[in-house]
Amino acid sequence: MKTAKFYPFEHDPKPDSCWSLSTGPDGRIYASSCCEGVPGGGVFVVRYNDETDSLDTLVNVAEAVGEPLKSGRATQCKIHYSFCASPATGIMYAATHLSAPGYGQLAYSPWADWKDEDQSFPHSTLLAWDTNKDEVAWSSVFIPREGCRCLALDEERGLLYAISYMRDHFWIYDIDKRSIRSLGRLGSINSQGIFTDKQGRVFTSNGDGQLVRYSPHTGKLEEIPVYVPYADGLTNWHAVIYDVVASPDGDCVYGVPWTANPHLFRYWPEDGPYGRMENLGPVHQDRDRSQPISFYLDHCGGLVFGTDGMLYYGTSRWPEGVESAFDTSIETEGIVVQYNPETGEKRDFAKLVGNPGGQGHYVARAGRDRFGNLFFGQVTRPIPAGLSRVVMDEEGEDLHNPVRTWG
Amino acid sequence: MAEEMSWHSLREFTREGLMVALPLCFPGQSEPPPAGETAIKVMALNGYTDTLYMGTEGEKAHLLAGLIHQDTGVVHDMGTVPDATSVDALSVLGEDVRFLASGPGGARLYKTQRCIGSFLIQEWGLPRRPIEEMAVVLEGEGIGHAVASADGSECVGVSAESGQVFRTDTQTGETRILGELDKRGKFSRRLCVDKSGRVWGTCGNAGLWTLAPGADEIEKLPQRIPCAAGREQHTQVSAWAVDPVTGMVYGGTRPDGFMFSLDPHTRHMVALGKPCRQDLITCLTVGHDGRVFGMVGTAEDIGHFFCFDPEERSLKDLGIPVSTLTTRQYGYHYACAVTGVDGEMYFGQHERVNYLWVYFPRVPQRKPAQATAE
Repeated sequence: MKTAKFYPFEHDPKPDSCWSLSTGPDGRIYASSCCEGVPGGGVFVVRYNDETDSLDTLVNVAEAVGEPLKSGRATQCKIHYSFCASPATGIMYAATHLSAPGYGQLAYSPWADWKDEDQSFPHSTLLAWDTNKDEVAWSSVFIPREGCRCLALDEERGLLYAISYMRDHFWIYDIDKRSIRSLGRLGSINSQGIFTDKQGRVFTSNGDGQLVRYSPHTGKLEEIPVYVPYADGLTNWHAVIYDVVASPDGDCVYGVPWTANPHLFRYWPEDGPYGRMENLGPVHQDRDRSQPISFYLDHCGGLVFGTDGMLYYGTSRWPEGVESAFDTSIETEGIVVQYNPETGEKRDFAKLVGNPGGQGHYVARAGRDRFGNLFFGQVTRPIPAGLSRVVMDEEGEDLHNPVRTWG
Repeated sequence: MAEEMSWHSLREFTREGLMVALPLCFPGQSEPPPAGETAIKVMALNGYTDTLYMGTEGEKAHLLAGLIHQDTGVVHDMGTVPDATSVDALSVLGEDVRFLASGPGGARLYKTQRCIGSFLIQEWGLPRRPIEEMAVVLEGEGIGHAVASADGSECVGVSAESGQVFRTDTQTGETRILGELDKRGKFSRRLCVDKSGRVWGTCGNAGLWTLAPGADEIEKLPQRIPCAAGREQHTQVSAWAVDPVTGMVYGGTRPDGFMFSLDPHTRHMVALGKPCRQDLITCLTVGHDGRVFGMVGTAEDIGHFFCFDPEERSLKDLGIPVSTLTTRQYGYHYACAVTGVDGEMYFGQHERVNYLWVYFPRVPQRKPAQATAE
């Protein structure tokens, strides 16, 4: 089994999480260095430098958009699942999310502080990073008063699709007009993923794990009779999409939900009127089902295809019997699993670092760079967050294509 | 021509207010304890944290925590109690939770940490803390029932078979036997502690006994609790409730299912009648408006829910408990009841498979304003 190399984020204050990692249009790896629980903390965009084998800090988002981190209001503290690469323009879009208390504040509640002039989150910000010029091309107010949970790009139509937190609305942003509109509420549990199919239709899920589809052809947002798979003994409640990656040919997607006992699924969006969902089985060990498990522990994410056509994803392993609540003293393991889409065979492929003493098993997102190497963004609390690189020994360049266009 | 028959409601189910049955788990994320381990025997509310604690009996005993306020709505299985098949008393007001539980080897004092939860719609963590055995309370015999003092520092209980009354210090586990109620096993397996801290029970032929706060001797009183003529030798109290405002004590009886009130100062008792045709009053609780709600019916019955209104001095059969919000269940048999901080009432189901039943009483409509004389 390979061992991944860990690259910690080195910003001040210390980042506590990496919620987004994506392949840029230039085939390089971009990640968000986040401070989700640090009062006055901000988010930085970093990029892996394949010449120096280190991370370069590209931009302090708060500074770039002119919003002081010491304003006392909830800060631009993270980029959640909201990087979108635009291969046609070379732009890497990034939308910010909330959760860090304002500077000097002990805590922040997005519900209690809603519309509080002193403490509330002003808005999510959309940042367009020009990967050709290595500079911020432009930025814009994105979702008023709310954070952006996840983001998808329709390059052909110049649209960005987003889901907001906490009101769980579905938003469409017109890039040319720099205008945003909501199509209304989806539910109460944010889907953590939003993706598109070859027709440009957009898919996400509501809080009951039911797929919700938007068609730019009809302008209709609709709940369709397809559900994210879930484990026996549980219910569809909270089985929202966590992470989804397209198959290399783009005909289907592979995904995992954000719920207990996550199952890998495969969805064929263009098979029949509502697509076809397949349950590919559990990704984790079983657990004591007499108690709820923390998703900080029972977590699978970071789905990415290698150039070998294999699916890779980050999984967590934990000692039996410690499920009741996540605690950073638990000796978890983060393992990258290789899944063969043809046979369904799985094997442990690489070990992630960041443990013991951290949440290193928690992979948020993954990407493949221009040399075919795999990268995994990790939360790693309480030690500073970072990302891991798994060398794949591929030959050639521009091995990053096709580039994922959702976060 | 024969009259056409049709199925329609006879209003046989919850006729007033609303019952909601909560599964004994984190809905959708965990599974309830196994059937046969979830009959809820005792409940106690920590009014400060809004957490309801429940003790079960069955093949194994569990300690459960129910949280319904704010963004909670779960019942958390705090774990199985080692060597126990019945939780008999709960003391939940301190920094930790202390409780008495019985098993084949006798009764013991246990402790664990309290359960507080929030943000249970997403990104939760509900730890399961260890349950520690603190001390042996009774050797070789279980507890019929016990009650905690108002400050939680001690429990007074009655042993299940021999009818010995005991007092246990909930910090140290030190236990003293205070007396014996009846050699023939004729004593109530339900006790109550009134507003002044005095413990009440029954023994013998429907006789009342009491234990003053801090006293070491039980006092057997000459009064008999109300029952049908000639039924004294069979009758004991099976359920108690105390009005926290007036201090009035209410009792329900087995096997016949009568209800009475007891003024703990004058010791005057009043028979209030029989709420339904079912036998055995299993639990009572006093609502915020002073009405007394309870359940009646044996384990072999389809039980009914009822209410006593002390202002009207009326008993009302409120029908068979049913829940249709989220959980669709009938409820037939219960063993304990507690009134919550907002006037909601909790009823502990006591069958093979069980739910925590929450009752939201009807809020009376205002009366039209009286015309004012000019």
